[in-house]
Amino acid sequence: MIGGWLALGSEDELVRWTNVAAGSLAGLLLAAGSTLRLPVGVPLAVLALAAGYATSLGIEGEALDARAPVLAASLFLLAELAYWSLELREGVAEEPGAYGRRIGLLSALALGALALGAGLLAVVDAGERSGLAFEALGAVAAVAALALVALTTRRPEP
Amino acid sequence: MTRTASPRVAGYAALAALGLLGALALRRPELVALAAPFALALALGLRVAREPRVGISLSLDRERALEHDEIGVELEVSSEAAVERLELLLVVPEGLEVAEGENPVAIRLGRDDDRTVTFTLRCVRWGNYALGDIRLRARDRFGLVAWEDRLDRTTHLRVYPHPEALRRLVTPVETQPFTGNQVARQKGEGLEFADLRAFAPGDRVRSINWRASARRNELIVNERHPERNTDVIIFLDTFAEARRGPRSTLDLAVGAASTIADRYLERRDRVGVVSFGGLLRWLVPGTGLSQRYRIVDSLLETAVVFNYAWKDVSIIPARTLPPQALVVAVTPLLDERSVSALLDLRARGYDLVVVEVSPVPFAEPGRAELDRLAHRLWLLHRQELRARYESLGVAVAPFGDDVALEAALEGVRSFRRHARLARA
Repeated sequence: MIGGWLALGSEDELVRWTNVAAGSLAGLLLAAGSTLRLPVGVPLAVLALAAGYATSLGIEGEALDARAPVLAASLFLLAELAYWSLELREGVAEEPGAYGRRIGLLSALALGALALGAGLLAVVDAGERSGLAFEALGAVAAVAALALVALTTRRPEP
Repeated sequence: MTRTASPRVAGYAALAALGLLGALALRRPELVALAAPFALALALGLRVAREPRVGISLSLDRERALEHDEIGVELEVSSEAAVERLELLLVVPEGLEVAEGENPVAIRLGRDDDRTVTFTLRCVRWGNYALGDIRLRARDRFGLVAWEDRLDRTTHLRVYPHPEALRRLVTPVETQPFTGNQVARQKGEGLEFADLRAFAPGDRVRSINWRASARRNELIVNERHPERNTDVIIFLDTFAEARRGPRSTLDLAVGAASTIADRYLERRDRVGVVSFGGLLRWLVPGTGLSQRYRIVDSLLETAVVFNYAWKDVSIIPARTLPPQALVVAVTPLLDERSVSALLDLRARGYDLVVVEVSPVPFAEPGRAELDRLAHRLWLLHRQELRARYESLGVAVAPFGDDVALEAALEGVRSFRRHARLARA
């Protein structure tokens, strides 16, 4: 579905066929991963879709693509749902209300991914127009990202 | 608890890294937007993941049950910290199955929360079971990390064979000197009338039969049969069994042995058990409720133990086989050692009855002509074996899923009504 949506969003024949092929490959990988209970099928499927999208970005030009946040949220949701389906196949009975809570969490995560992508693109767009000040802000953001990574890799307190 | 990363961690890390590298290589910020949710979920998920501390206790609604009974199981789970998803699995041993409720089950625990998970187990087969191997797996909110643990909360459950309906038992030829419910063949003090005879000094006045005395013009007294108990030995053949799926001749044999022992004990007879097989086990004859529990507990431990060693009745302790005891052999008549041991017992003068747990329904003839021929020969051999026992005055009663124990013992009674004990 995501591959189809990406294909429909472009007028270039090559981009269309690339995204259709990426979407089909992703579908096959998900089906195989689900059938064989191989979790590695999920990131490979996401990667196939992302590769199709990256190809279309390379062909279609330099302008920022406004579909990126929606695609990011969709891919994240796809990965979460695929992992969830693999967990469901373990045959563990769920207590009442578990599915509702999980769907709520997934919705929140997808919305968060959408907001994050939109925010990032807005920053990039603003930076391209404003020059030095935003370059400095970008550097600060990179340092903050590094700090965040360092923080997460630290062992949690017992 | 063992901490393991879920496949999400590797997948999301790879996607985030590839997205960021792609963004750098292609100079496209859109790819950063694609990678960002995966990277952020990974960073946040790993940061907030905390090892849960879960306490679990297991309880059964009773420790003893009969075959096909259902017993309730309660798992009380508590946790100091909140656990988003806790998967619980009670390993159910073979012979028990979940009848109602869910196992495994996933629950959610809040901070300082207690939960009780209940389900019902059905006892499919008799046996002595140890329940309490509990596997648990806790996951964090983002499903990135799992903690696995195995707890041992062993609780024992004894499942007794389901007793069959049995109205009448096989009457032993000889009785023992102790008081019981069996009318002895000997004459003495008792209730059942036996005969008349002339009065002799020392006879009690109350035993004079006045009507017979008046008719014969001399004093005639009544003779009676005393009520005595009997010794019954359940001889369980555990050398071999025939099995198909969950059912086997040993299961049927243990059920039959338990029923027969129960019924004889109810009559105040002394009952003992000899489990004759790869592993010899015995229980000296006794009476009462405690002996009943001893016998059933001993039967629950019964198993076929493979052994090449030749064994005969001489290895059975002498006091386990009292003289004049009725020996009820419950056997599939598959192993030559038990077949000859039973013939040996008969030769030693024991009153022997063979309840043959038929292995025939467990062995279908093959499709090939030779297989069918072999099957027919095997059936003929079994018939010949039965005829051998019967020629020695030993009743052989086939018993199985399609023949009730009551019907099998009726066959024994009718055989013993007409047959006389022969010398082997």
